[in-house]
Amino acid sequence: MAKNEKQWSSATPGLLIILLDQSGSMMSDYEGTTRTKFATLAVNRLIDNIIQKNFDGDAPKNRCFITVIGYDQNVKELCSGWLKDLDAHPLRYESLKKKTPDGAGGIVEVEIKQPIWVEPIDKDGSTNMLGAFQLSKELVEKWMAENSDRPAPVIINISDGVPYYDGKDPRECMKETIVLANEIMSLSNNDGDVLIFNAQIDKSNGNVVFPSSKSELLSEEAQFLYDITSEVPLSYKVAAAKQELPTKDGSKGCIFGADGVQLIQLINFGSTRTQGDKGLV
Amino acid sequence: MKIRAFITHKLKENYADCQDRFGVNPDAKSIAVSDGMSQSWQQKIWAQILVDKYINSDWHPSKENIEPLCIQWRKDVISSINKSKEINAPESIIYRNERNLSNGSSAGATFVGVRFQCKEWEGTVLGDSCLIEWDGQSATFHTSQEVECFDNQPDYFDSDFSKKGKGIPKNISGELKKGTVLFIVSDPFSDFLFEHNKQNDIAKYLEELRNISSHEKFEELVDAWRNSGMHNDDTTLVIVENDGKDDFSIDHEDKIVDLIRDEKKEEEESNSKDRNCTIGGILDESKDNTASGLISEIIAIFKKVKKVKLKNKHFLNDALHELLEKYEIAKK
Repeated sequence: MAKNEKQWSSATPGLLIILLDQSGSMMSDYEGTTRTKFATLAVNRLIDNIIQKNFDGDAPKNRCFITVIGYDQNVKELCSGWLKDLDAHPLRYESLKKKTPDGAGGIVEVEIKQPIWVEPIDKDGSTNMLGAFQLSKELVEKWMAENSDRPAPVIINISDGVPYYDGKDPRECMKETIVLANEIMSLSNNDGDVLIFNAQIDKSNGNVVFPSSKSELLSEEAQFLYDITSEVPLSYKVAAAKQELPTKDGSKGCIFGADGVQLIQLINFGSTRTQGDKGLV
Repeated sequence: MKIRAFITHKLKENYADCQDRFGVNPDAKSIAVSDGMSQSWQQKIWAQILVDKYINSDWHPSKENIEPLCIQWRKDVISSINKSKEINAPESIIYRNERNLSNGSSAGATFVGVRFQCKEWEGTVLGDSCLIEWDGQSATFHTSQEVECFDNQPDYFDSDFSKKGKGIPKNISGELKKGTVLFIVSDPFSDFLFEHNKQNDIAKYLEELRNISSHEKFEELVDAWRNSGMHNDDTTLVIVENDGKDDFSIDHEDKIVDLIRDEKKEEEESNSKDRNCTIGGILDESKDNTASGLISEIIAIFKKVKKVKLKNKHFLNDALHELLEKYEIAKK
């Protein structure tokens, strides 16, 4: 049985798809900022971290293709590329000053640049999560058809609620999305099944991390996200422990009411297990 | 002593990406191999410093003696950043390096080095690079840690003195008797050969290594062994044989600087294939899956090889494998 153990490499690159909710409710306050700013900050940091981990001083290695898909009533490709392309073409840079040791006992102030690939939203819209998963399905199918020996693709969905599109009843939208997400999670290659992880940016359900039963979740919205999340494969449990995310038998890779640390932990967990190169202690 | 030394890079990467380094100094009769660790920073510079210091001086590798090398590494890194500014390197490359420097990032590298006095040798090993002694009957693996414990966190020297690295360097020694061979290798060989030692069929593999006569033959062997389970990583091999003389006679020595230069020239002369930078590229990638598409791509590859007289055998191998993956019709 395939175990999702294959690591990203130049010969077997990974595919990471990040789905980012850009509906109007994402403009609500959250963790001292807004949900949309909170989520885009995490996504920008994730991309930057992955590039940095694959940067040896000369250039980043193309061990992964990342695509960020935003969804309101429409579905949009916000940024995509191999690591070298992403590194070379951010939307813009933000600068900040940092005091740091100069290596000779002194302190110097240096300017640190933070590349930005994804911007927060400023317009209202609905939540076509189904459309985002449809595009993801098309992508992972093509990706795996190209080469069945690549690591199984990973999809991370960051949202504050449930799908709502085309003026349909939200319950109908949830049903349709669950069917599609299950189709995606049943797609597999030689490495294993396609994985979907979810982060809910909403505190109304409390804070629940990697639940193993739907009964741990009170609201219908949270239970919906639970239904569209993959169980954490055994091979990912070490990565979860490294990110201080507790897992148990049957845990699903989803976090509800994620704070800043937890959101970063989840997306690191979803993307770094596959980066198993030799590292320093 | 007869010496042959080879190096190659990971599959689908380039010599410029290769993080292994080795050196042979016939005057000092010293040899060293160092493997820069992937998930560290400026590891190529660090591996080169360790190798150069060992083969060109009487430096004894230990955690206590590492500080001057750490200072050298920092100097070299700063100089490399300044050089990249002078040549107007991409902005992202400059700020990533500056940010790592200010964050206190460092490099890690494993190490194995030996020095000869007549037929007797003494050396030091740290991490999963190793020295294998082969007398035609049995193999002795010299490592600083149990081979069974090799994982993604081997012992290493850290380029930041304050971080201490991992593990304790182990001193090793021996005598290169007639008929005995030393293989100084980086970790893909260490792992692979140790497994075959356990299976009692290592003789076949070590004799294959012993018979390598050229860089091309080395690459062929690495390709074949990777297909038989050797892990895909930068790969270095130095073979030392007793030819009855005390002096070093270098029959073959790959030069990483030359390999990188040739590869760069090839890249400039051939139009390297653009990779996708939108999802449209992925969705459209496999549309032309016809026999005529396959044939025209094969012709294009061979034209490119002929035109620039490619020396890198990996190019042809990789290009044809890519076609095999892309075209269903080729699989059939």
